[in-house]
Amino acid sequence: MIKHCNGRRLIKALSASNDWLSSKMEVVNNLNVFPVPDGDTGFNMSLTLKAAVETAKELKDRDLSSIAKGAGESSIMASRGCSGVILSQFLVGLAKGLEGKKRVEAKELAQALFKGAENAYQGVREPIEGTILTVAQESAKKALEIAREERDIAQVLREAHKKAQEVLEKTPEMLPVLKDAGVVDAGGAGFVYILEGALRLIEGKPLEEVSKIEVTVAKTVNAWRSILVGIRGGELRDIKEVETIASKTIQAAKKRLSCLPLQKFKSATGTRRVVGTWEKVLGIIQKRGLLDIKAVRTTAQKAVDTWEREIKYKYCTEFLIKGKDLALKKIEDELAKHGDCAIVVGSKELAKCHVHTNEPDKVKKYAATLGEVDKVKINDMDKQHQTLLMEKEVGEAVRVKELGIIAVSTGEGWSKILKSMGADEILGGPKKLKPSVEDISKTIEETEAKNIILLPNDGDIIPAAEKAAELSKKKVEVVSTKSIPQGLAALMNYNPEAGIEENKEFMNQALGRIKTGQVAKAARIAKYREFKIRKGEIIGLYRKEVKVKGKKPQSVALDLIKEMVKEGDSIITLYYGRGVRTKRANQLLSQVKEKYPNLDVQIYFGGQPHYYYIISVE
Amino acid sequence: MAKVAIVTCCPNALPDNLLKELEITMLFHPVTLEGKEYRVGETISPEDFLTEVKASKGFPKTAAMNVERFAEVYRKLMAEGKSIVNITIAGGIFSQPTVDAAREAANKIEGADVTVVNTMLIAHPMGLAVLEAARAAREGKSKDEVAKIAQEVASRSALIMALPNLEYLHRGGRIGKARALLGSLMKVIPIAILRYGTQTVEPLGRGRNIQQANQKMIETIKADMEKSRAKRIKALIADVGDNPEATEALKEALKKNIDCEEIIIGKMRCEIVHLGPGGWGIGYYLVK
Repeated sequence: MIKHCNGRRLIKALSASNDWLSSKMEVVNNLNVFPVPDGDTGFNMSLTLKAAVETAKELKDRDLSSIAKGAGESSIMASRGCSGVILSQFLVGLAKGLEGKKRVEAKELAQALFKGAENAYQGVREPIEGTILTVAQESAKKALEIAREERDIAQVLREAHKKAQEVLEKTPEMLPVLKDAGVVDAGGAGFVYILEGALRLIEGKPLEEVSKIEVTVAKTVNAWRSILVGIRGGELRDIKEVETIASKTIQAAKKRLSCLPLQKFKSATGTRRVVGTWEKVLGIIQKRGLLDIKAVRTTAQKAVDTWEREIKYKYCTEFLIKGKDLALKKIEDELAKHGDCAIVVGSKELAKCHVHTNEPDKVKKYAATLGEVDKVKINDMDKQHQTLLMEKEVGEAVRVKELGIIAVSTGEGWSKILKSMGADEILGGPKKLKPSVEDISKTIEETEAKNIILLPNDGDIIPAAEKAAELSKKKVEVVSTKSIPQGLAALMNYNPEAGIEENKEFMNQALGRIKTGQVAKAARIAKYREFKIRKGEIIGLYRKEVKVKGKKPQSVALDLIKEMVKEGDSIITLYYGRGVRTKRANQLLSQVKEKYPNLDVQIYFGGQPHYYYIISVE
Repeated sequence: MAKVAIVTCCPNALPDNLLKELEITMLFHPVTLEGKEYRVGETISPEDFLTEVKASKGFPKTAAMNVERFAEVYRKLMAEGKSIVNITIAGGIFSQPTVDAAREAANKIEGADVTVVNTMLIAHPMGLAVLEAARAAREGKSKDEVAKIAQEVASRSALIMALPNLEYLHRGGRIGKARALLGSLMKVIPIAILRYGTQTVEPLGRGRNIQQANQKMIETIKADMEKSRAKRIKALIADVGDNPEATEALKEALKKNIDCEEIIIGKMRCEIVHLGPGGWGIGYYLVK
């Protein structure tokens, strides 16, 4: 039980908070989309707190009041960004609450926390709920409430932290911008980590964490992998350059990932570089007008659109004014005329100013009339914003999908069609044997999705698919498709927004609607019912029976279609195999169209071996 | 004559005769195609516009309504001594500027008695909300009652679209989650849904032809009816003007499979921008 807090303990706590916050820096940075996407909230808060800790450690007076005051004052100087400034105001308020005290008990500490939150509120021109302000205030209130009965500081802190976390999770409900962006408030998150750091110290938990960064880098690698797969699977030829860059980037990111335990957070810079390259790739793609890489183009377009919509003021401008009798409120009002997010804090002698504006020069000129202007920092938020959006998009692109589809194919034409219809992974191909349980299992594990639907597309593969499904730790469902056209029919009903169970049901509904027939060359002499089949003769198969035979694939196909088409059918689809010339296939198409003028007839290249034609009727 | 006037904008898919009969005031969104501005249904007929779209290599775009045009209409109706219910297209991410303009215009005019209803929807289901509201107004219901009806109808409605040329929805910036349906190498008709309040178009699946697409629509409506325990629907169906056989087939399929209180064949105007050539859709209202 911790009954009191003195100067030494406060230093330790602040230091722990700082360590924990800086270990979470990237996490917080990536959350930052409000009020404008600075993308460096974690960094800013961390630097603010760091200065406070360093000053506090060097102070000669080690009593609680002096430590708190020193930390608060130095944090004003060091503070950057909206949340950084608010944090410094919190620390100043905390110091006010601890003024003149050598040690405090739980109750007084809670009061000081509350004073900190209050001061943070007053430091902001237009306090907005759903930000660090709300998180700080609600958690401080909780601390006050708990400290009425509880004398253990650890317990008070624990409850305050818990409350902070709860409020943080509600921030998207309070601020639509956050909800739209799918994040919680970054500054609020920073505040939670600050409380958490102190709490971890008390509870003896480690004060650094690498796993998040690993995840980030891993996701980037995955993003590139999926982009590459997309590029390779598409129709594009002239994209060697794109591929080379993408491959290099993946290698670089992987390398960084492999030495992560040593480098820890430096790897964040690496991730940024990866993103930089990603932007270059986009430039190339846009310059060449490769319209087909839809996903890539969409990403770029979306980034530009969002940017244009969101950013009104381009430059995040910060500086200090040293002067006499500075009227903070008046300065703030003046800055607010030039943009938004104006915050001015400090004293009559030293004002720390922050504003988002399109006229940084005018702002600077105005400031110069009041006193000496120092430490000017002007950031182009345009650039920050775009980088941030890219990161977000990359993140989205690789977020492990809820549901993935694996389909078995027997030809390159089929593979392309299946992919374009939503299959994530393709098993097999013309030269390969039917996939084994192991092959299927491997693909299941490699597919970046939590749940998997398997389309075996061959009655003979269904059992292996079912076994693989049973062995996997993932949730895997087999939709028992017996031919690729059936697999395609299933994919027609696939809804990427629905769950696995629902999709299985949708897909199964589609199976009964489609009939499949095949045209092949007899490999040996055979007798089948009334047919005597000679080697080399062409046979038409439908419903596991030889229905027709003849000398030419085209005429057999026509005869077979006649067997298959019944009243109510509306589409005939022909998929021609490797051994069929396109011209021949198109001749067949014309003949079928002529014979069935009321049906929709389509032809595609399947590329399957053995079968001249695979025909579906539905 | 009704005391409450209904104002709405053009993506409502209602047929001309109903708009006229129910005295609905309709404003036309500006639409641009290759630098030229149109108001589809006003400065150019939907048929001609569709021809322009097909002939063009570019993609058309819609723009939001401005404050002044709403204000103009409000003033005119106020001079006739009417209260106004303005039923607008989906606010929020979808098209907030139009909703804002509708509200701002009301704030601007002193003494304006205007209620703005954000339907959270667009096109056919918005048409249904407008229709029911206009009927209520005609029956002499109060402004508040009329607005409530519009909101209620919208909240129980949805729009299913068949989009043989999904690229138009994509280029128009409205594709949302239906993006997943892009890029098929087979000739397919992607089918997507816009539900009340979701603010994004979601994929439903694909059909190989009109028949399959319509079947998917029917299945979805049936599932929705079951979910909300609705016994009947009111439907508004319309194609972009070049696919009447799809609309006709859908009407027949509806009659056969679903208990419909009313099936209206409507007309698309600026909706053509997003549905694209060959597109058709159904707005359906789950009657309580």
